[in-house]
Amino acid sequence: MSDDFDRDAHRGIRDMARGMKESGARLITVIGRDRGDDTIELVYMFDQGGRLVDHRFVVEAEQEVDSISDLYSGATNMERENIDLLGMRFKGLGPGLLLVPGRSVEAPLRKRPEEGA
Amino acid sequence: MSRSTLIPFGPQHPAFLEPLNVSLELDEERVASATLNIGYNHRGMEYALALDYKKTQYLAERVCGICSNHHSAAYCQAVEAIYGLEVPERARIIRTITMECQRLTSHLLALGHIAEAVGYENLFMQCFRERELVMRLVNEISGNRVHYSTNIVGGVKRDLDAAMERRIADVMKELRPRLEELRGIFARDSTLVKRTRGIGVLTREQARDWCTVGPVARASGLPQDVREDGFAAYDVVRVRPVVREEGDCYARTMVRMDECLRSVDMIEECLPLLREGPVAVAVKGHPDGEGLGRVEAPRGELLYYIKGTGKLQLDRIKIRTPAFVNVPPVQIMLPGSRLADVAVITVSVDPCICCTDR
Repeated sequence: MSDDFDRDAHRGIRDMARGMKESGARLITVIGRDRGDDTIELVYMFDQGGRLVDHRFVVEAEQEVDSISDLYSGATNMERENIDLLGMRFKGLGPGLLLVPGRSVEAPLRKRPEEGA
Repeated sequence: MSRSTLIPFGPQHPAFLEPLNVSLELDEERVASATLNIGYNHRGMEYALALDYKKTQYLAERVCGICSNHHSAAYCQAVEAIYGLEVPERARIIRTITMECQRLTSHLLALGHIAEAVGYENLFMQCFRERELVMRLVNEISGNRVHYSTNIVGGVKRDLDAAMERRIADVMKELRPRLEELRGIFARDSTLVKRTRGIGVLTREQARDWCTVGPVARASGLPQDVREDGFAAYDVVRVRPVVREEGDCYARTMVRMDECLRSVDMIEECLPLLREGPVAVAVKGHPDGEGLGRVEAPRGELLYYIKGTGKLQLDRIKIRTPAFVNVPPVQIMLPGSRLADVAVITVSVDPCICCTDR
């Protein structure tokens, strides 16, 4: 795990999303990227009056992250996709996935040990 | 006493062009609740696209057959951002022309699809007749009808000669009155109006909450259009987003119809701006760094995020397609509507499952 990892950083996700929502920003996407050291970078990307704004959080791969689907309904499928493709867990996200569990490749975007960072 | 009935609408349904399922709970003829199920067409494109940078361009264009040129344009913009490339002006104008041609083909397909969902078969055929004019034009410009393959990192690989510029102008001149005739039918035909007006309403707040983009958002009063940011040559042509307030199927249809006419305007504005000059700059090596490409595809904002590490395999490529955010709100548009309107409402968001699932 790299030195820039802050175990508690993800606690600010909901406050960040609430602030962006109040400012009228539109959520564009939630990008998950395996950093290759058992951590995942989550990039929350917004459009704020035509300007692109991103907020980044690094979380442990197995860590449960607060969902923002109650703040932005459109985040529901974005978070589900991160579950499907990266094996993430979101606290407060309703049931349902895009892919059928057990019948699809599990977390295909997670890096295998030999791939590394 | 009424009794609720559960009906699976899709994934294979005559009204849908691709697999999509809506689980409907009906109270007599009215929809009490709806749950959307997607993922039937998931191809793991983000995984495949990152495997080999040399093949990414080819594959990116094949994520979708209807907005293929926008996929390759967004991909190229993301890679060009990593390299810090300045694309030649002539290439930016050619990209704008082909993107607007593809908006025309996509919107005319969507309009034909809504006509078919309403049961207006000959209007569907009329939409496809006008669409064919543009399909043939694109074939002449690029050598392809679906996957144009004109965009490359650094510019475009096919230039337009003077004869082709005249040909584009002639086709636009021929197309305009045909589109105006179509507009009159979509705007005033009593059957179409009855089947679409006040049906499947998505309010402005709902549109914002569900992060919708493109014609779906603009039909609900949100004036957002990435073309106003000025990518490609949109900084030198007039971008006038079509915005309506009703938020219903009629508004979504009319936004697309009016955008067809705006596309003709923009193509005609582009042609005199073409000056002699290069159409591409050379690029070497593999991308190293992060880049974003954002375009206004026919269905709305299309975003490519790319992170490369200087190797053949990209570290991550993320595609946020417009359909991915425009399709889910169908489940809040449906409750309260009649079963007969389910197909019209679903089709009115122009659901592209190739893009949604990837």
